[in-house]
Amino acid sequence: MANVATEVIGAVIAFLLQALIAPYLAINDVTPNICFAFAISFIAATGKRGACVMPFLMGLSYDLLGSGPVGGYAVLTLAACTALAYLMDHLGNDSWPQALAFICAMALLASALYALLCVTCGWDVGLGEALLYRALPMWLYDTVFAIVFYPLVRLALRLSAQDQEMTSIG
Amino acid sequence: MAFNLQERNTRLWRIIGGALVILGIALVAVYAIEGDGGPLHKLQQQVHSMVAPAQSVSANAGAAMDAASDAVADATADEGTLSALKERNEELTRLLTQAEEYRLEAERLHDLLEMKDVYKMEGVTARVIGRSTDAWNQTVTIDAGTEEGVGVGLTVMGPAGVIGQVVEANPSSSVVRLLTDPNSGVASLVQSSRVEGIVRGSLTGALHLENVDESDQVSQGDVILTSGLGGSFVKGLLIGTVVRVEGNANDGTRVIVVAPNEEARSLEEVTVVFSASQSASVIKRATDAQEGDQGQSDGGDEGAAAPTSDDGSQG
Repeated sequence: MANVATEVIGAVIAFLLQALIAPYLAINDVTPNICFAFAISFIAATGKRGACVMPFLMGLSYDLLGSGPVGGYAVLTLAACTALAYLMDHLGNDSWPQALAFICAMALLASALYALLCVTCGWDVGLGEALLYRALPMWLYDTVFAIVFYPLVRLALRLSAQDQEMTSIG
Repeated sequence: MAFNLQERNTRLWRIIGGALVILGIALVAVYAIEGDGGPLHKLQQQVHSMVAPAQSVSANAGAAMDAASDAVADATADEGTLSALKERNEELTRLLTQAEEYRLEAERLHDLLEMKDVYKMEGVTARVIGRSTDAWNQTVTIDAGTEEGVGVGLTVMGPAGVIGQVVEANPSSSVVRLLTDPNSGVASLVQSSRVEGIVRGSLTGALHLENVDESDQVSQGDVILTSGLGGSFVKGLLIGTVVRVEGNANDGTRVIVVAPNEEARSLEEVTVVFSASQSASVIKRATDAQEGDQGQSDGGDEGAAAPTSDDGSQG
């Protein structure tokens, strides 16, 4: 229950940040994908397998807010989060560096595949250019946001779990 | 029993996950196949329309936050050791800053009006209220929509020339795709030689003049205008100036880099053009006006000022 509340509140905040703040955080025309960063950091913090609705919806929100192909980031966010959950489940030792490394890898995979998708969907740019000028900086930006979100999500989860525990004892 | 329940849950989530992947792929496929008027494009447009007022507020919130932090700083100063004179000084500084802000706004609007006069343009002036939320598109949202007569395909100009084209028109807001967007392309011509080509955006933010015949000479400083071919942009509007010609035309490696008129970040007010005069004298006056502006603003920065040919061959 505590997870669900954190998930919903975090998702709403991430959506609002994406819609209202992200355009003003652009560096060299590259804006962060805060929706993706939240989804992946939440999955890394919870190690929740089967949590597919929130990542899909976060990706879809990003697609609808932007002007790219609708459904693209929805699938990629879902795929990245599922792969991350699988990795955390099988290889994870609940250490921060490992979780951050997995986040980093998944963010790179997602932004590179999105570049490929855009080029496939008829974008008038080469794949190399798309990877160099968009996917790579976007990966760095998303990773930074995910790394910032990860401890915050863990903290929120711990606090809400403690709160729930206290309520049940009381 | 518990194991069975867990297994059933896992299977259920797998089914849901699989269904969502299929749904996502189907959405991408439909989006790619359908035209601009398709249901997914319309849904995206609806979301943009809903978010536009909030984006407008967030744009103002940035300025409000600055003002609030100033107020907090002032309040702290009152409690400290600062004298009344310093307070007065800060007050005056704030007023001066505000006045300067108004002056700059008036200047920008004046430039737009001047541009309208130069081109004998019919159009509506709008404020930029939002920018692209994703890294892959170069768009801005403006606070004029179909209620003001804005429609898809109309040319949009900044104080110095063309900046893009309306790609989405909602009742009270519109989305403008900037020339610097990689998916943007405008039929254009070199003012002095009448060489035709297509100016395209790129992911680096530069504009490239493409589809120029190998035998045609294009050199640094050439002024690029819209040619009006294809009908998507009004003819004779200023796009920018050639700042660099790289490579060799004969071996197909020539890259002609055009300096865009405006940085998306600096755009605050724009004009959506309904119609504009296309006479040669008007084009000449427009380039002269830009030359004057650039001369004033950058003091003749290399490659920025457009040397207009004065041999009367502007067409």
